[in-house]
Amino acid sequence: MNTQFKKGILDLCILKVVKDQEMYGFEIIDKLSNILDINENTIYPILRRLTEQKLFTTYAKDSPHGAQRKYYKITTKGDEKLSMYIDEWDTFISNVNQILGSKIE
Amino acid sequence: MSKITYLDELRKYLEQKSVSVKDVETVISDYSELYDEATDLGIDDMSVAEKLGNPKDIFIAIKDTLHFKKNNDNKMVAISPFISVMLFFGIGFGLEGWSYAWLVFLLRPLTAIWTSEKGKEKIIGSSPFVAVIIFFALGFIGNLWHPGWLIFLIVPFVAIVLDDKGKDKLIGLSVFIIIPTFILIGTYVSPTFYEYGWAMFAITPILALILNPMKVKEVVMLLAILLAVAGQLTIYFMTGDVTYTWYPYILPIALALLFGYIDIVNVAKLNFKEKAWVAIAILLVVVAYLTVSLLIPNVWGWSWIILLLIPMIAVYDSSKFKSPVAYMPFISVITFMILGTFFNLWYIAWMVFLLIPMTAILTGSEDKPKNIDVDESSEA
Repeated sequence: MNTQFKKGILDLCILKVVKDQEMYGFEIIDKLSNILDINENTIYPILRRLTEQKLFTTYAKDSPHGAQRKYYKITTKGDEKLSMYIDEWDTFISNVNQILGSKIE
Repeated sequence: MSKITYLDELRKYLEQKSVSVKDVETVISDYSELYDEATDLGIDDMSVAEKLGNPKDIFIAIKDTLHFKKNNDNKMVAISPFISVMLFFGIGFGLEGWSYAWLVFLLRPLTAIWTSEKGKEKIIGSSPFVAVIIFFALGFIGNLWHPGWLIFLIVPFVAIVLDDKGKDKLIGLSVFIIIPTFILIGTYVSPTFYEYGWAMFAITPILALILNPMKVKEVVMLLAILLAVAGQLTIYFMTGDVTYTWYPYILPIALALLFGYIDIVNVAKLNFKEKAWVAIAILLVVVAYLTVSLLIPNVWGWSWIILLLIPMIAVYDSSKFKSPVAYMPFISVITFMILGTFFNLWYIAWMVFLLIPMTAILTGSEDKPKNIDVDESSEA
């Protein structure tokens, strides 16, 4: 898959998984890298950028191992952004499917 | 790779790229937590480091979100050539000091070192340039070209003083105390001292032996060196002829080969194995210097340039070719002396010293931290 394309989709995916469940950094990395077959080291920069853009907020929570973990939580701004991304994605996929469908016919 | 090493490398890389202190701390804190989270899941250190990425890739990926220090240091380096040119013509026209005015061009590499290096590296890096300045000050002002060249020994001297510890420091420094002592006595006290005084170079291996636990091999080695010194001095004072005075040293040299002298030092935990070539190279240089000086008549005036290979060896040992400019003061002096002594080109020979700032400019970009210099398209 095209790198830039994948990068764009990653923003959407990360926003979605964090909206569904507040998670700590490596949990997000581990989950997404397994599902999307991407390098783990691509996730943290996006988490950092989305946090800088105020789409995420973070808070500390004790882990079962004792040390505190930094959890990511989607903000209202992040939620709005996610909705916008999903709309764009749906439109995009719909258009792509239309093209593919017409070619097949 | 442990967590500490991983984070330390990341921190160094970010600092090298002039990332703001706040951002460095945030990123390090984040990666520290990510590292812990990964190891909590049972992932081993090597895999964690691989998953989190190397410092360069991390920097490339997050640099758009980072803040950078305002780098006034780069401005200082950039402006130094202009200041040098102004000073060059000021000294040249104002003081008729064309012969030494070029020294101001050393400002450029010196500024680069002062702004890019920290702590003792700053002092070690500056020492070749300070040596050149002092050497020419002594030469032009006091006509002390010889033994003024001894000042170049401050380069390895400073490196040993700041880097080595304990016994290593004492042993290492002994060489650089003995050389000037030998030269100064030979120059100012008694010229004949050159013919027999080199026995004092035995002090260094003797120190290396007696400052460490001594077994039979070391005792035999020590006795052989002492015998050689006694033999050399006896032959010289009995015959007054220097031709055969080095013969007694065949014994300790042969024994050193037989016993594996390097191994002896290793056993003593001097970590000399890695530095064996340095000791041998320095010894060869001293032997070459003495051979040329003793066998060829009237060469003391320039034969000392051979000894400039010693600080060059020290530079190579400490940084290889990472900073080629560090070699240039010595290469320039050697070329300067050869052009002057053999071709009587003193009046233009000084230009070879322009090689120093030229090399600094040509190679400087590799050494300097850059803020925004990474390919945007790099992909993990």
